[in-house]
Amino acid sequence: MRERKNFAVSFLVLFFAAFILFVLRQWAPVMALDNLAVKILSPIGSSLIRTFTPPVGKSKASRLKEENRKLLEKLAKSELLVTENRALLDQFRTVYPAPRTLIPANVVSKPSFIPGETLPLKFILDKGLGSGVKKGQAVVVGNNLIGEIEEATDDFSVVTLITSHKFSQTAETSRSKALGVIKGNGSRSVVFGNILPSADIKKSDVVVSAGSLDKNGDGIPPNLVIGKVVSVNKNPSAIFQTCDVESLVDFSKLSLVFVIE
Amino acid sequence: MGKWIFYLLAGFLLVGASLITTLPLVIVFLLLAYIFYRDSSVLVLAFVLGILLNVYGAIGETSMFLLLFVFVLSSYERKFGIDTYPFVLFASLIGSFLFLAIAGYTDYIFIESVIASALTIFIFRVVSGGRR
Repeated sequence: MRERKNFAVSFLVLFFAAFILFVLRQWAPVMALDNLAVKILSPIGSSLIRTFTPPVGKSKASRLKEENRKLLEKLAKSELLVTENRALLDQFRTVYPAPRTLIPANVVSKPSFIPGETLPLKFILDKGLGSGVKKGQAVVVGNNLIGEIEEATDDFSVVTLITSHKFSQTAETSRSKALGVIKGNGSRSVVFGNILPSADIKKSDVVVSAGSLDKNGDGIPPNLVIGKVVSVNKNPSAIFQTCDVESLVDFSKLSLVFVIE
Repeated sequence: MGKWIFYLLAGFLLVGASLITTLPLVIVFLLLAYIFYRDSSVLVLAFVLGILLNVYGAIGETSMFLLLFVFVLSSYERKFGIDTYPFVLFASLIGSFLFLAIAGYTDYIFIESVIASALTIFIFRVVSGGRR
């Protein structure tokens, strides 16, 4: 009987103690006690976890699978490096524009581009104001004009490609220096318009930028290749003649481009 | 003295095991400890394990639940025998289920309770030598 009484008293005392701990749970010494328990027990828990967790890649199959995954990762990285190196080599072999004025940038996105369905009209680059990229700067691959920086944030920038409706620049043919305006029309070829009817233009003529640099040197430099003439539309009754010009670069395959500083 | 050393070793192992499994082994342990020792030491054990395990988030809550569990066992013992298979099965099942449910577990709590009960029955049988 006495033992039962002791048991009941022990229960009440301990229950009260637990209740007090619960009520004072926000009090620093009680919180310290709680943390102490965690600190004491964590080594036991971690050693038990180590004991009961099977070592990774213990079996031959899982080891091979892991090795395969790592090799594929390495392969993807080295392929990317090869592509980048090739592009850089091509670019730095190009005499014009001078390599020191170029900012290499990766194409991180091609908004609204669906392969086989639509053409890329914009690129998002991984370089922005922080790297010296500014609005209005020309974007090239080799000495081919790709587009113009439309907008730049600290880390990224948007390029309007020459195929975009938004793109418009004065241009000329390299052979006869026939002047006109290049306008994108959302298709693979761009329109070279506003050319005087008397101008001498032939199929396969190379069209280059006429240049639109401002006094600070910002803008599109002259003599960047826009493309070659694929057709000439000369109407005797029209004020101007127009041509279709196709870029020498496949925009859908570009991953590295250069911004002219 | 031997009892307290056993409590210490088993308690540490139990708390460590609670970090790798959600099985309510503490219920199994307290139930068996009470059946075999039937004294206030089990209450102390329930209090300390509650502080260490602290599965209900706030310190003291788990201790209160475990103390109540042991107290209910002692109350039942006053009228009925507790060292029987049906009682061990029933107490461990209900105790485990309530423990997990109050701790906020929702997945497989019944299955875990059944496993805990089976484990309790097995240990009870081994330790008592199948006499009951």
